[in-house]
Amino acid sequence: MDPTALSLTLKLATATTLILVLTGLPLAWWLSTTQWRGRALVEALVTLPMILPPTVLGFYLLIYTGPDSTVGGLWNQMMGTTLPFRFEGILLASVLFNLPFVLRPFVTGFSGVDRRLLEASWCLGVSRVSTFFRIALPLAWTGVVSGIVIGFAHTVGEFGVVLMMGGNIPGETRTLSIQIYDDVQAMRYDEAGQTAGWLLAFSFICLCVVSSIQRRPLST
Amino acid sequence: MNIPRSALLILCCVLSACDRSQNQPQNQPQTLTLNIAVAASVRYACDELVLSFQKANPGVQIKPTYGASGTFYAQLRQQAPFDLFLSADSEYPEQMLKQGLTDAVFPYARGRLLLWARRSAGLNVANRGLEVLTDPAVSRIAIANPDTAPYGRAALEAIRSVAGLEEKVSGKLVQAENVGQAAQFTQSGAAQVGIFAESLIVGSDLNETGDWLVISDSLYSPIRQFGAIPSWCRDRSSTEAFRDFLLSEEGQAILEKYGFSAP
Repeated sequence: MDPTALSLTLKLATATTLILVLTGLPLAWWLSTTQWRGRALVEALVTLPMILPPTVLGFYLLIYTGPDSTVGGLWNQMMGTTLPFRFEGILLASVLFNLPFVLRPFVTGFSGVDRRLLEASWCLGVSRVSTFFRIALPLAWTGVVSGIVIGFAHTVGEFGVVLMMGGNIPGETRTLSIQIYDDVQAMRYDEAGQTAGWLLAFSFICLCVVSSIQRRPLST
Repeated sequence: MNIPRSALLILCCVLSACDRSQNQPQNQPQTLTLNIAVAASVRYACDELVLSFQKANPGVQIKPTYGASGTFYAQLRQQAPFDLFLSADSEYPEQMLKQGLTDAVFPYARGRLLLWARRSAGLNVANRGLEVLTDPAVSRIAIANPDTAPYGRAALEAIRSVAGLEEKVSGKLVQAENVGQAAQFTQSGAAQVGIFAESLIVGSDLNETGDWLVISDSLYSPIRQFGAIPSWCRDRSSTEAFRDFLLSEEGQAILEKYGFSAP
């Protein structure tokens, strides 16, 4: 397994998961508690990447983050670089593409929390933020951990959108799944098979973790 | 209730530790790295060129990406961070010149087209030539995508040069993303015959396992391969040093070993 591709993949998956935990937790909490009518619309919008072909997302990202676009121009002014074919570009793509995979387990977790417990906490004078961290989050932990594990694993396995947005640049955008594609084209079947085997084992272990924690009874 | 929280805490620690360890190598730029976009036909030759160049210039690290020239051209129009582009034709670099994306375009090699089949298929390609494509045992013919790969265009041109051949074989053609994938399709047996670059058989086992014929260069327009240095190249002098090495006697000898001829 190529060490550069491995470390790049871990870096991408870690950064994607962190961003998605930070943005996904409040968003999921809001989605599972709001009574607002537009909720279904927001939920459909954030779930879109789950069924959208990666090429569609890749296409829009390439067009709307290119050097001539508004977003690309702004980024260029701030950072002095372009987004497509760079790590920052695939990170953006990865965050958007994995949003539903992290968000859905989060929402499921929060929806299972008994509202009476939250209200009891508020009535006892505990702040909303504190209630979230001390009551909601611990009770929804299976959903939260599932979301984190699935988000991380799904980023490791991403292919289409990374290839379109990132090209295939060693050390910058060549992740393990793209390394396999490249190895097969070069007819390096041994290397491709080795990487594929590791990814197979990794994905299987992740799914085992997720199903085992989802079977666990709530520890209260 | 303590288990989930400590699990989260541990996960956060692991994640942040991962991130920190990843950042370390970036903070120590000891060697200069050049990203180069190289036509898939030059793959094996380029691996050797890079090795030889780095032996003489240990301070420069060259990281090639191989693919279809047309794909790279589309990426370069979006200012993809490549420091050098080695195309499999002259058109893409010249287009870049016209669009002001480069001011340095140079020819570096001339390639040849090859008709290849697995020896175990017993098709006797070497003697039958393009006529083998109509053989009933041939149900799939791999070529590179003519829209993005110059070798795919040349392959189509060669097929069209034989009267009536295109109609007979058009249903059998399988388009690969680039010429390397066309070779892989044929090598794996997914396609019985492939038309790709001669340069791909030297560096791989296609040489020993195959039965092939170099297609007469009168059947297609010359494949003149040009390179270009994009205007946003990060280190002009090192990139030019690599280009000069490519065009030097030593560089040209390596290209020749892989079946390319002088530009």
